[in-house]
Amino acid sequence: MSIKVLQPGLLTSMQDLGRYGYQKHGVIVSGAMDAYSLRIANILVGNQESEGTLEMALLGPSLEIEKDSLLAITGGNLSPTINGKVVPMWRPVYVKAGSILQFGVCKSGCRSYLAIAGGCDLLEVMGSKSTYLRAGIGGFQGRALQRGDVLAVNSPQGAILERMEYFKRIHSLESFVPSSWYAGRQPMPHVLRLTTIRMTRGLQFEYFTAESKSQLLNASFQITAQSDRMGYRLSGVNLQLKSPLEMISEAVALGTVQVPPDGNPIILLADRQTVGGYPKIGQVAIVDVPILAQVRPGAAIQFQEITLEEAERLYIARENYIQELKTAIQLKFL
Amino acid sequence: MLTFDEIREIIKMIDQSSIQHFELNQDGTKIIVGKYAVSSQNNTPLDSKGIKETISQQSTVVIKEESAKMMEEIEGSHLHKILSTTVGTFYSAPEPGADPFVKIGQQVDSGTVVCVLEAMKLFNEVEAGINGEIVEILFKDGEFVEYGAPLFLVKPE
Repeated sequence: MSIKVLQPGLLTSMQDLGRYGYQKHGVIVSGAMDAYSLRIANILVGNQESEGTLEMALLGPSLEIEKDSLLAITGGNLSPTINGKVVPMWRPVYVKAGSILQFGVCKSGCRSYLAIAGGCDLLEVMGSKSTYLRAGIGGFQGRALQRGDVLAVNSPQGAILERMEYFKRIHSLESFVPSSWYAGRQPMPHVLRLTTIRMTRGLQFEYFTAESKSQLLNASFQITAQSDRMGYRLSGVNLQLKSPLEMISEAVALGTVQVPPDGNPIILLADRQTVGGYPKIGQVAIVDVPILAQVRPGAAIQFQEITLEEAERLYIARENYIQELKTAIQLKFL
Repeated sequence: MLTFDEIREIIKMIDQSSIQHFELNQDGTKIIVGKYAVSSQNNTPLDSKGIKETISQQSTVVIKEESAKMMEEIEGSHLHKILSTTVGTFYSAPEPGADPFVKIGQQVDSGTVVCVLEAMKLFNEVEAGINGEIVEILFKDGEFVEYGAPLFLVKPE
């Protein structure tokens, strides 16, 4: 059973929750830009939360689903259709063999996730199916999908098989059958509106001038066109240090906001380097990284400072919510 | 038929879990157990004080007091009632700020989604189940509805 790529889209790559445990060797983490949407997509079809999914940016692919499958689409809305009919997102959808899943105009957010029940049969590289494009490792031959690629899908087992049987019992002449319920969606950033991103102070926050510290939290920043999976380059205000700082490189993390000498901040994301030598003015709260990942280049963000305790509280609340959602979905198939 | 002890056991298990809503259908007996309370600051599971049990031989219709009078007027009429399929929060639109699923005066067919009910973090679509015209919407956004409560009145075609 497999998925055939008819059109690859702008940038469609296999991503899971990342390649952890190898940063000390200089191997970057990669993984989904919006890990929240990836996890929900997997939970909906009955996969492990960390299973590899297709991450599709701005302009999605056209895919032929060669065998009866259970799938879920989450994240930004790239107008998914099956055989020309709109497919609802944030829910499991049973798709009959030979259907064409096509994505169109990006209506909200900018990255969409497609989870297939059973996951794709790909070799894990250092414990992950994520694609690191620059090094050409992981995922499907270490690269973005191209026309003609065929992704092998694992045969569904156990609980997934039961979920498929559940949908098979629903009589429908349509080429796909969605569930009559859906998971609460993450509010997607609006292109024309300012998106607020919560952050805590970075390690070198105090080295910046009083004016820069105030501008960081009051000015808005545009995400420039030179942004990618590695990081978002921002423009808007030049942030200045009180005096030059020559740092020894130290670890950076997902969501670290660093400021190079030109004063334009960079937010490090999924394909970030392992260490950095620029002063770090802030750290995006983990719960807001998925929201940031859905803000497309050209749109603007504004930072809001929160305490580390608040960031932790938000993180725990998010994890509780995901666990409750998981339980609720399991009950739907009893 | 479940024994009283079995029912008590079920309630106890649900009480100690994070499950908010539980339904069981067995040999014509229906058991619905739910925990409802205003969500607290720290998201801790509710204690037994927040628990209500509804046990009945057939599905009971629980009607909100304020709509009781209206129901009396409707009882004798030929209007079709679209009933709630679950216990949960009523939403008239798919997401905040979006257009409502249906408006008064709108024609619906049996497959038209008329609202969603949020229960346990999931949004459940309710279909009209009949062809006709929506004449009354009995709940407002964010209101809590019981299982079996009339949500809409429809004039059948």
